[in-house]
Amino acid sequence: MNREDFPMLKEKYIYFNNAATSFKPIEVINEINDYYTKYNSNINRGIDSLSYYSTNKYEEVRNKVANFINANNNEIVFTRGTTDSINLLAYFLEDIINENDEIIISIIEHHSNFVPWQKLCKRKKAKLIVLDVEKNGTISPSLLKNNINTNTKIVALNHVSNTMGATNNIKELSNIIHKYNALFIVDGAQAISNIKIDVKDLEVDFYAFSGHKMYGPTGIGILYGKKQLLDNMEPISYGGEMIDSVSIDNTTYKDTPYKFEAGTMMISSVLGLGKAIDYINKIGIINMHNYVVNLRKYLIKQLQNIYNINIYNEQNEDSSIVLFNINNIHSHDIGSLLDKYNIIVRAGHHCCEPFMKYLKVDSTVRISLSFYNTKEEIDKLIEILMKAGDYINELF
Amino acid sequence: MNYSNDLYRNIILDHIENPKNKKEINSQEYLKSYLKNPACGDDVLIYVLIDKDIIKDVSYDVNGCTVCKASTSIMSELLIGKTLKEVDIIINNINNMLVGKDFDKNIIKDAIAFEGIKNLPPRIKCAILPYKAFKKAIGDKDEL
Repeated sequence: MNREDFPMLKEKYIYFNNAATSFKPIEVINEINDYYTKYNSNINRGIDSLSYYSTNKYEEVRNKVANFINANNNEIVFTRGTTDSINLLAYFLEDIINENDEIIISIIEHHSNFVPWQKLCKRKKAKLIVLDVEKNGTISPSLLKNNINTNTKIVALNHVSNTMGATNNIKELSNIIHKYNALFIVDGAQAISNIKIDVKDLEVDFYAFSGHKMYGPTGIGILYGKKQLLDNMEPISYGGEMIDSVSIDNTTYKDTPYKFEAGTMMISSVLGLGKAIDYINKIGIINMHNYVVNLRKYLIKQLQNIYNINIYNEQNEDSSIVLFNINNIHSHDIGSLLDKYNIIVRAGHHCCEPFMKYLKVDSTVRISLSFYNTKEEIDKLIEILMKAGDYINELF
Repeated sequence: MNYSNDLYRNIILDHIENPKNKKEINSQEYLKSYLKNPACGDDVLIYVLIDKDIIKDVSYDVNGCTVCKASTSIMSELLIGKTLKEVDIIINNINNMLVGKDFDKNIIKDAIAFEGIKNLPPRIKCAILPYKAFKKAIGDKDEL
């Protein structure tokens, strides 16, 4: 679908690493170019018309993001990415964690939703509870029920796993978590480009995602938080544009979300993200999702013809991800073989070392599809994977 | 497939199927070091026994891809019995080969199987990891 919109698709590559970062449509690239060539200026500063124009454009994007996930615009904080959003939260929320409190995560979390909580627990002598996952990679609500208690202050889980591609039942998990008055933080990095997100319907307290996995630029992420929760949090970065007034003895801050955006923000990336959201809305996220689900069916069917293949997440039919190994061949060797033919996949531990240990593998090969991938590209992939047994001849 | 491909394939397969000098080391006399490639998860634990300036023994435990495993086994064969000065020359020649610079074929023996790595730049780090671990074990701070 719509391949002509993506300049990178005119290059020689077949790109199956969309869960790492997606390609960008020309509208996004042009928007960034326009900012630097037609109205380059800093936002929120002075009374000149250039700054006024770019400030309006910047704030328009906040509205677009809010509409995209059914939030209010004062609940949208711009960050560097999902990782940054979660790390910020782990500091913002430090004050609510005391010794012997508990934070729940799962074994399948990306390092970015694992390490910040592990470190917070160490700082505050709190307890980190790491839930196992079901065979398909989801977190079982009943397992959560068995582990949550009145000491639980935070539960931080993924919406869609970046390895297994499994989608968690966020609403059901949320109901359990809120019965214990704990905060629910959701890593939405892999969900945002694949499913329609409605933070009100999901009843989450915080939701984090990145622009670059949803056809937008790198360097821009979102932290959604319920207004009242954001209001109660102290910023951790101080400086220009986040202050209300400064005297020698004291400083007051602007309102949420501006108090969290100190200094000159990544204006061009924010503007690019706005165009990425326009682009997704134009194609329709459901159309994108349905296309990918059908393409994945074809991919699975073709992969099953590969001798000695072991697919870990065949059952997750709603996903854009396929995770596999070919017995006795290291994933890096598969990755290099495909790379030789300009086919880009992810090989390694996918920033999920605890989960790789849980699967009892060192690493895996991951194919992650987008709506611009085609059956012809999959055919080429399969043709090369058929040679996997001869990879040493191919590579050396 | 040409002659050199076939030769290289056999060298690599031999070191994968029959790793050389790999044994359990309990002796405190060995210097050891552990290195991991955080980007991909390859890891090597290297043991080195030095007497004066001669490498008496090299052993290892390695997890990772074909390149890393075979490279570690080849390294052990190359370095055992060499003086520290000779080791330096060998490692420099291998490093040069991997990055596509001039090198002396006669010095690096089986490591020639990785001549093609220069065309696979993302894999240089896999081949070089055991050499980095070796240098760390002997306290050589010169970076590769």
